[in-house]
Amino acid sequence: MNHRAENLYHQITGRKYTIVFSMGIAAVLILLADIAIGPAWLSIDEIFLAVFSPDSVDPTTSTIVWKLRLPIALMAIVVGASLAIAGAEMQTILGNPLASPYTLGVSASAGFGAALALVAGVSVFPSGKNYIVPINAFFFAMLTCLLMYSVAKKAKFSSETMVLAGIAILFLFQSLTALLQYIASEQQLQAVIFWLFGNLFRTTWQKLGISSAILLLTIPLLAKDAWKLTTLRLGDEKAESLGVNVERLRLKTFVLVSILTGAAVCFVGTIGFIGLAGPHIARMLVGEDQRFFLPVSALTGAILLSSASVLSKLIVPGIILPIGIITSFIGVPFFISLMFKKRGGYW
Amino acid sequence: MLQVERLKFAYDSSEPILRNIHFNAVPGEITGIIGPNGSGKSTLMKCIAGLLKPEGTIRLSKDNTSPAKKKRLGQWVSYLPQENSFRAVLTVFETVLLGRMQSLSWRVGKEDLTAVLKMLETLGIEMLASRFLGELSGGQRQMVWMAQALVRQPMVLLFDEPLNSLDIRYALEILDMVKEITALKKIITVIVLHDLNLVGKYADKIILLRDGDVYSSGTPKTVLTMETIRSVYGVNCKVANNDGVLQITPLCSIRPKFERTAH
Amino acid sequence: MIRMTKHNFLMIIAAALLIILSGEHAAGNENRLSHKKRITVTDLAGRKVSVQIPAEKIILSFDRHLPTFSAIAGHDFLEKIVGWGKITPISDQNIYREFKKKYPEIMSIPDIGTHAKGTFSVEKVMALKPDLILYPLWAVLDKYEGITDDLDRLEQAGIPTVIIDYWKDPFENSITSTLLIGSMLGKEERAGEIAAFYKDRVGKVINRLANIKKNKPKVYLEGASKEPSQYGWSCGNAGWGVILKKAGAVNIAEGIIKERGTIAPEYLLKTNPDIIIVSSFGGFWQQPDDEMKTVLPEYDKKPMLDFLKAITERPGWGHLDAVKNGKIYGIFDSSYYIYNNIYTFAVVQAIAKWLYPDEFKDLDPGADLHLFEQRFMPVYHNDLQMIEINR
Repeated sequence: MNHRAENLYHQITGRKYTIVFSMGIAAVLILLADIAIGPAWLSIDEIFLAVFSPDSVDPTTSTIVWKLRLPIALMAIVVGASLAIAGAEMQTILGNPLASPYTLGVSASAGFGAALALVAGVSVFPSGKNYIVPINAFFFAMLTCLLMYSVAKKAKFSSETMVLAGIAILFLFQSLTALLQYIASEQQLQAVIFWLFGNLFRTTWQKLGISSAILLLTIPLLAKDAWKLTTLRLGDEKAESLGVNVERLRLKTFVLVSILTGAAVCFVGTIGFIGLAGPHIARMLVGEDQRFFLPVSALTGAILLSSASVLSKLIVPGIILPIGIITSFIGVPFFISLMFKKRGGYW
Repeated sequence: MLQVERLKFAYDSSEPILRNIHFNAVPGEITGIIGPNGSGKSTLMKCIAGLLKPEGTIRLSKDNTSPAKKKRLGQWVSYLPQENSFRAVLTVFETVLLGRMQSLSWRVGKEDLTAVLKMLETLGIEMLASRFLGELSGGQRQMVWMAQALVRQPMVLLFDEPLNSLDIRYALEILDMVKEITALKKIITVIVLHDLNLVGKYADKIILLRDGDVYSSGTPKTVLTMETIRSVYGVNCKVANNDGVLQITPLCSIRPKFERTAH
Repeated sequence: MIRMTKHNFLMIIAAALLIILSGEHAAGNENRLSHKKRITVTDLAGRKVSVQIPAEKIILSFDRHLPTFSAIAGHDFLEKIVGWGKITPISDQNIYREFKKKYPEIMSIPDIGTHAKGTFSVEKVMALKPDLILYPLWAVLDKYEGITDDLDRLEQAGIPTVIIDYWKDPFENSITSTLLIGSMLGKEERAGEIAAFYKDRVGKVINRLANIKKNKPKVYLEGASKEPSQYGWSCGNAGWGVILKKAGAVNIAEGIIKERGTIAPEYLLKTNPDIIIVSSFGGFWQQPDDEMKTVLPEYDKKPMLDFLKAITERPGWGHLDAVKNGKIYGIFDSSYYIYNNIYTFAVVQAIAKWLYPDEFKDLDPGADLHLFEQRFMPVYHNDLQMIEINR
């Protein structure tokens, strides 16, 4: 009896472990490719040497590897994972397949916060010179999360109301940003557009550190509630009757996810597709047992953004192409093909 | 024993839905709750399940001596709501496993796995274990919810309309199962049903609600009479007793059509 | 973005010939001002446009064409501008300040909006009843939203839109554009003088370069459009790219960027340019680590120097030859004063001098610019805003 139950369980989870494992490997491989590929065409040995013994290569090579490629490549992984986790948990706690940092207007409001700093020089908090733009973006991202949460609560988490409210907020902040662009000088306009496109080139080790720290702090807190979050998908009443404090779980998760989203978008700008598609792809691959859903969402997001980063360097070598544009190119075909391949619903 | 006393409930300041409910339910027996739409059946279930906070007392005691603490009431109660979302992308095994929430950790323990398999086998759905919820038929799904409710080994089972949209075979299968498990595990089962014939057949005791009050309670024979049905549902019917099983045949509504619109 | 094809270039030459011919014809009628006539010109996008000459009511689609226009139109330039597209707050900078001091009326020139911000109003243009509206080629190439439709609408309304260019090819096109504007204003002679001056001053550089047998230095030129830590745009085969080429440089962005774009930082580090030139228009980012405030360049060179120094703090720049040798130069150019306007000759001279200091020792771009202003401009600019880092 004991044995059969375990066998059955391993049969179900075994495939999922394989997926987690192979996606982990894929993420690492793409990360390596991202570090290896670049317009300066460094050889693998050079990169290897630069990473492990920076003093033995010429200073330009070590700068390229240490100041440019490594932080940017790692940032792609961190931001991709953060956005996908944020999307996954937003979808879970709001019970809405369309929930994502982008569709709920969080990215748009972060964009507005950034534009406010860039154009009007308005800072919501006194902050270090280097962080005025990200802090503004972060603040507005959080503000929108809060707003969306109260709307959701008032609307009893009805899908339609949430999506409508999200789109309304998206439009509101887009209009506000457009208004700022209107009064902006041409130079400020360029800076705002550059920000809105989403770009990893602003990454520094310090920013990477902040984003990673928040990601690494959030993951265990979400993982701790894995079973409860899974239960939430069976409906509030069911979850409640199974002993989950639904209200508290939702609020707690929402706060975590808001911080995660804010920390991701405030440094890199608007990257739309990953927060929506990452979790859906993960759901199609491993289902919604959060113990798998959470890491696979993160890995999917990381792989998507990382491959976008690689692709952006290959399309037109030598120039900077905003990564936000490339992301959808990578994700959409994969996403659609999965949708057609699998029978039954995903939501 | 489950004791419900002076139970009152109202949403905010609106009309009370439950006015003054009293009843006892005993382990090993099925208590059927019936009543017209809007009489407060589902609200009563939610109160017992701990989802709503009513006035009055709900007491659960093992063999009448040690009352379970109110706070932990939920731990002993399994509640199966009327509507169950099956949109989660989960396998049957995982779904039933969620019934063991209280003891689940990141690494799932052997006892939990064994309990799940056992329950699936008891209900005869072990071959569905690795199927997804979305792939099941309505009846199969109901079985899964049952398994999820039972796998917790509750003292009280609350079923709110478990037969919704099930064909007659599944309906009977599920009720047979409930009856069997209730007797076997000495569970206090409270079940809301619309079908008076099925309630008459399966319930040991019936509580008939009208407008948030207990109109009548007792054995099926004492509750399901022509008179009570007529005054609570406003329906004329024939009640026959075939070898101890009540058979209720609805005849006609006693309210003429024009009166109904005026109502 | 639309690319200019080679055959367009031929068309432009053809257009230039046509304009010169029609100009000569019109010259005979110059003294009979009341006598108007209609000619067909080919503009810088290769479009054939029928224009009533001499045009007396003109709209500048971008206010930054003011210096060029005033040079060609002469003393009564202001009477001819019936409207323009304002781009705030660029219009309020150095050269405009000079214009404003002398001609406060420019403040009341009606604003027609601009495609750059989606505010262009066809109706407003029609209400002003211009004889002619001048549109820059880059705005068409950049495909601003609605621009093609609006140009069609204006054409249907009988308002000729003539596309001029001082950007895509700041030499041939600038000369052609100057002559074209002159012919439409009935100022062929003046336009011819300007064109000749321009050609002559650029010629000084080109002729001498032909005899220099040195290796051409590699140059990275960046239009600083963001905070100092972020790379701005560079030009491939347009704008600055063409200017660099004329001035005898190897433009490291050529072949990577077609017209305008941002090169990847590591590409720059790997290429290791000999010379770095930073241009800024309409203000620049104030502080090394300040990501937001732009300041408008005044005649004070201190913030410009700070900006140049801040740029050298970018990762890896300390190892670049240009930085090590102090070969970092800045052209702080408000209102497209220098770039994308009639003064490009001075820039070519300045860059050539930076690239080949010994060969062009005697060249004085500031003096030539000053001479040009004395001869053709209604206002003087105080200073050539070109600086270098001194280590």
